[in-house]
Amino acid sequence: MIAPVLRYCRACFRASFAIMLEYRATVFLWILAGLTPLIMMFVWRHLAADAPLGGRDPKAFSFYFLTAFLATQCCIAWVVWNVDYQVRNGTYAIQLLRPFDPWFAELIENVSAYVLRMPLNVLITAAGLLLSGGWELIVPGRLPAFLLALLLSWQLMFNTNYALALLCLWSERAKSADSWIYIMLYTLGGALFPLDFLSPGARAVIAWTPFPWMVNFPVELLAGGVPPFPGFAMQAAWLAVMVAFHRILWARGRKRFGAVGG
Amino acid sequence: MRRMLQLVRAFWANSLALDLEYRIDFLISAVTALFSFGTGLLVLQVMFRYSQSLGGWTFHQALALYGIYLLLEEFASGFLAFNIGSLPELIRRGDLDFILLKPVNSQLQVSIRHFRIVGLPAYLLALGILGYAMAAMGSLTVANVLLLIAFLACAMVIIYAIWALLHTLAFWLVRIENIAQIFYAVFEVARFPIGAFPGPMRIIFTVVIPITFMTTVPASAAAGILDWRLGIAAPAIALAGLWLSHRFWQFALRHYTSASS
Repeated sequence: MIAPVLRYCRACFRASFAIMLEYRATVFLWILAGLTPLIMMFVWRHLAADAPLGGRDPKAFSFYFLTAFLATQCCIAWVVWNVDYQVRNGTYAIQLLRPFDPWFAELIENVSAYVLRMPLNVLITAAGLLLSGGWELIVPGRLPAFLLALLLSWQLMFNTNYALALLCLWSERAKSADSWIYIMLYTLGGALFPLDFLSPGARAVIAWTPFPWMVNFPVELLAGGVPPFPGFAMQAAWLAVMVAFHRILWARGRKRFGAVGG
Repeated sequence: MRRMLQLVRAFWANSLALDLEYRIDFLISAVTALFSFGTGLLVLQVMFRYSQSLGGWTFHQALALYGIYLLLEEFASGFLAFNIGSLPELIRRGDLDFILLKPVNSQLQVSIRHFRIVGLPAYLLALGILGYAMAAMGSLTVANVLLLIAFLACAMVIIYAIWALLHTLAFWLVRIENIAQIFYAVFEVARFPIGAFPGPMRIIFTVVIPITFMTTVPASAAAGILDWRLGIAAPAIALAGLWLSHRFWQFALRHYTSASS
């Protein structure tokens, strides 16, 4: 059971990695498009140049936004665009003919973009942390938990994106919801300002959405500011919700799908 | 000139008819505009809760600047992207040939073909914010509005020139649909007055990449705090950019070998 899936995944990876390599310029443009947290870093650092702001000095802001940058980069998925394009192009029908759930193919494509993108992301973050002194805020013992949190952030956003992509089987407008999700990821996730700068009431409301757990949580976790467990539980709960959601959509949407083109 | 206006009218009537077929897109555009406005406002509010000023600007001055940012954002993603931004696709599919055959300046045709009315909610929202902020500052005078319009025009020309220069590269590189991302990434900086950034960045974003002239200069005209040295430089840079984009376009055309047959 497992072996064919693995073999399929390996073949998929080889194919999509080759494609990614060809489009490496696009992959790097995506990093460029995601530099917003770093721009915010410069603004906040400059605001805090004379006196600490909300208990943060420029060093703390550097740490916060560099780590938030890494977290948002972990959350980039373009499943919506892929599925939408394939549905309109007619190539989605080919995916359906394969004896494997298209989820695998999308996951593998996402992974291959990761392999290409992450070394540069890690380099940017590490260089920034070293230059700004932000590394001093890292609690070394929290590194494994931080990596696990990033892994869950990635899976959470990927599966959310996948659920939206399946909504494209009903309406092509689902595509614009994709950009809303990213706006929320950046804002409610805390990549534009540290979330503790919001009023406690606003924070409590936002805590029920998945976004703060994808960006703010890993960042605070690495700084030792929050305990691991409520956060991991929220990440896992939202992940379960999103996976259940796209399984239901898949069961219904597959029957509804009429191939276009060929 | 009159023929040009007729042409523009024909082009835009055509796009209007096309847009009205997708009425629900108005709603989506409006929701998206409200969304990005809401998040931007939130960022400004959080900043001003902790700090008295942002690079020497008050809340309402920064809000006016944000209104201008939203306006230009829509100008780029709702106008330029559908016109000059479609150049790589026109080249790849060979459709550019049909444009070159017509007896009208080809760069102009590619640049103003489509006017997307669905962007209207976003433009109105941006203008509303700008108007509100100017009224709140008490700077809503005829002189300021005229200056604002003039510098907005300069900003649009500069942004257009950057898009045109980037996309004209498609004559050689062909597959560069995403090159606009370079613009958007840098344009993020324009959300804030240039004074909100540390010194070296301020110089880079004024001298090397003219971000200052996109939002800071029009917004300071709206607020009545214009630095006249920048005010004089703005039209000069706009004209130079336009000239450069035109020359580059002509140079590129000389190298163009059609993709279709």
